[in-house]
Amino acid sequence: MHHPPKPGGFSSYSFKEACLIIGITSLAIFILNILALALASDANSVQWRVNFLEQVGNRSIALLFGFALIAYGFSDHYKLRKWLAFICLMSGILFQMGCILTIHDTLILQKQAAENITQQANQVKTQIQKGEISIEDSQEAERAVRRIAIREQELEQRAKSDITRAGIVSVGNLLIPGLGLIGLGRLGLKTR
Amino acid sequence: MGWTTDYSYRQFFSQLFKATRTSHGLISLCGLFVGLCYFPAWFSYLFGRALSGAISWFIIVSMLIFVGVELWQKRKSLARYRASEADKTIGHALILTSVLAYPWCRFALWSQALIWLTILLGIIISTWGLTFFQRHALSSMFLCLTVYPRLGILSRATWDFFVPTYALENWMAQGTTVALQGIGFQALAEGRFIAFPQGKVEVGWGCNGLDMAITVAIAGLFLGLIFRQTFSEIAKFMTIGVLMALLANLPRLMLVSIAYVYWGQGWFNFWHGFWGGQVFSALLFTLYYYSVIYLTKPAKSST
Repeated sequence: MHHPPKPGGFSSYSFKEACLIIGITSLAIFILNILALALASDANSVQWRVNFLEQVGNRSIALLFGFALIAYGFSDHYKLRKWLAFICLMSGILFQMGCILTIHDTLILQKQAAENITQQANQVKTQIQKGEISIEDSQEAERAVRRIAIREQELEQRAKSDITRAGIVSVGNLLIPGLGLIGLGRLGLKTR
Repeated sequence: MGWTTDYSYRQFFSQLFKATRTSHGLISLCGLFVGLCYFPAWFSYLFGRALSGAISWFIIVSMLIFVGVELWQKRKSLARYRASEADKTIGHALILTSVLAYPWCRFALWSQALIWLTILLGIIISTWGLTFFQRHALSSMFLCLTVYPRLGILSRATWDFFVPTYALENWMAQGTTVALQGIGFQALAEGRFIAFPQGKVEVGWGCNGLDMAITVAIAGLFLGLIFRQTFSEIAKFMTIGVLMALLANLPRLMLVSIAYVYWGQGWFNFWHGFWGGQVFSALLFTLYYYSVIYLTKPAKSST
C-alpha cells in the first residue's frame, strides 16, 4: 500500500477525509457556478455560448482538483472509484468536444466583427460622398475616403486577431484540463 | 498461392465479419465508417488544390508513406502490443463520442478533421495502448497532421498567433527595397508596400515566402529521414532551408515588383502566377539540394 504524507499531525485516515471534503467542496462550487451560468441559458446565441464555454474553461481547474481529491478519498472503495474514473473520462472527452464548438463560434464571431466594421465604414463613406459630412474640397473628401478604407482594414485585422487570441486561450483552457481529466480517468481505471 | 481477386474479396469480408464479433472490432469499425464518410471531402479538397498547383498534397502523401512504411516494418512488434483495460475503455469512449458527435460536425472540413483525429487516436489507444505514441512519436505526429488537408491555413493561424500582423511582409518589403536601391532603382518601403515613383506594389500574404519556407523545411525533414541523418543534422537542414527560402524570396519580390511597375501587366502575371512560381521553386530546390549535398559530404568522408 502506498502511504500518503502526513502533514501537520494528520493521521492517514483523516488526511483522506480532508481530501474528500476539499474535493467535494470544489466540485460543488464548480457545479453551482456552471448551473448558475446555464440557467440563464440562451444556447442559440453565439456570444452566450462563447462566454459559457470560456467560464467553464476558466473553472476547469476546480473540477480537475475536485475529481483528483475525491478519487484519492475514495481510493479504498473499488466500485465508487471506477465510476468516478469513468465520469472523469467522459467529462474530459466532453471538454474536447467543447473545443470544436468554441472554434466554430469563434469563427462566427470573427465574421460578424468584420461585417460590422465594413458596414460602419461604408456608412461613413457614403455620408462623405453624399455630402452629409461637410468637406468642402472634393480632393480632401477623396483622400478621407481612402484613409477610411485603410483604417477599416487595420481595424478588421485587429478585431480578427483579438478574437482569435481569445478563442485560442479558451480552447486551451478546455483542451488541456480535458486531457488532464482523461489522464485522471485512466489512472482510476488502471489501478486495482 | 492461388491468389485470385475472388479469394481476396472473400477473405476481406470474412475478416470484416470476424471483426464484428468483438466489441473492440465493432467500435473500431464504427469509427472507420465515419472516416469513410469524411474521406470524399478530404480527398476532393486535396485533389482540387493539387490541380491548382499547391504542394500540400505532396507533404501529406509523403507523411502517409512514411507512417505506412514504419508500421509495415514494425508489424511484428506491433502485433505484440496489448492495450490495457483502461486504455481500451478510453479509446472506445473517444471513438463512440466522436461517432455520435459526427452528424453535427459536418458543417466544415476542420470539424470533420478533428472528429476523425479523435477517432484515429481512439483506435490507436484501444488497439495498441498509449505506449504506441511513445515508441512511434514521429509517426504519430505525421499521422495527426494528415487528418486536415489545409496545411497552409494551419501554418498561417500559428504564425498570426505569435507574430504581429504584417511583420514578415514589412520585413520583406524593407529587404526588397534595400536590394532594389542597391541596383539603382528609386524604391521606398512604406509598411508592406514597395513604392516606386511610378507606382506601388503590395507584399501580400502569399508573397511573404512563409509557405515556401515551410515546404522547404519539410522537404529537408524528409531528406534527413530518408538518408537517416541525426536529429541535429536534420535541424540544420531545416534551418538552412528556411533561411534560403526567405532570402530567395527577395529576388523574386524584386523581379515581380519591377515587372509590375515597368514591364506591364502581362509580365507581372507571368512571374506572379503559376509559371513564375514553378521557375522560382525549381531554382530554389536545385540550390537547396546542392547546398545540402555540399553540407553532408564532409560528414560522410570523416566517418
